[in-house]
Amino acid sequence: MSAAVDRATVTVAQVPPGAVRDQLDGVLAVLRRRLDRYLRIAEIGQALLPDDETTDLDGTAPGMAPYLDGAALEIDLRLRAASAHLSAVAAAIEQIVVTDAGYRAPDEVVSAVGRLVGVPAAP
Amino acid sequence: MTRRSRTVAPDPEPADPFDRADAWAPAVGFGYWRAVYGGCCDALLAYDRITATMPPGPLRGKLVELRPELPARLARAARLAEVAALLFPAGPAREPALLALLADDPLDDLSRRLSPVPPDPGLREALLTAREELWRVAEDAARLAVRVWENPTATDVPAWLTGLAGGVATALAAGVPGPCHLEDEL
Repeated sequence: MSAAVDRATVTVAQVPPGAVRDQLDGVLAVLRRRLDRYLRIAEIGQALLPDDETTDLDGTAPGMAPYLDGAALEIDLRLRAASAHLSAVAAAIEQIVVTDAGYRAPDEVVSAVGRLVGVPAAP
Repeated sequence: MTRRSRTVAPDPEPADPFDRADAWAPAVGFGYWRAVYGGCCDALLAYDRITATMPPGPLRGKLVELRPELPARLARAARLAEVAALLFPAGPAREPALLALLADDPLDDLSRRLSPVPPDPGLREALLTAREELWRVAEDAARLAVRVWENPTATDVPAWLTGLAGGVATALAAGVPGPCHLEDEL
């Protein structure tokens, strides 16, 4: 999730000052606040069912997902949706920037952005 | 001359031994019963960690208020685990040594006459229920904590970006040259 927001930040930084840049800065600010919320939710998941990737003393080997159910599974699904949402938004921002810079046909951008951000809803 | 009265600090109340969950106290062996009781302790520890993640506020206050109720439930689970470990040290299964002795009986293999699990007066069910209850409390605390970070009035970023993409496309199609030209259109 942090990587998606970083990717969006780098993309927006390439846009020259103007209205598009202002709008994208606004979107970026929302994404950062959203990322902060998702990190808090991840903290709660870790508090409920800790999974330490540096040891197998917690019951799972590093890199192996623990068995989840109940509230832990709900949190995991929520964070997966959040991750997909942030990645889609970062990709949509890239599409807009590429089109705005003249590297893509204008009539394609609406459908491309719609495809990217239409599927995963923000949890 | 006035005599200053010495204030004596009241004796601290004895701490509840179950206030801090410890899967090794009481000692209930190393097998099944300890594992189930350990799950009860894990639930209490999870509750404490979840409460710690919450920002100060009425909801956290309520969870802190409810916390003293939990050691009593943990103590009940500990008693159940202790009795179960005493009666059924091999867990919810027949003692292997006993089965071996009965199998070696000169008359017959008597181990076959026994049911696969020893008769349990409901200890296992009661302990599993206690563990489930404690976990339900911890899970409800987690669900409440997640709700603190929900934002029902979150900005609709997809709609925002779709609108922006439409604006960019319209501006480019209208022949406005070069990037960063959309001050008027947006």
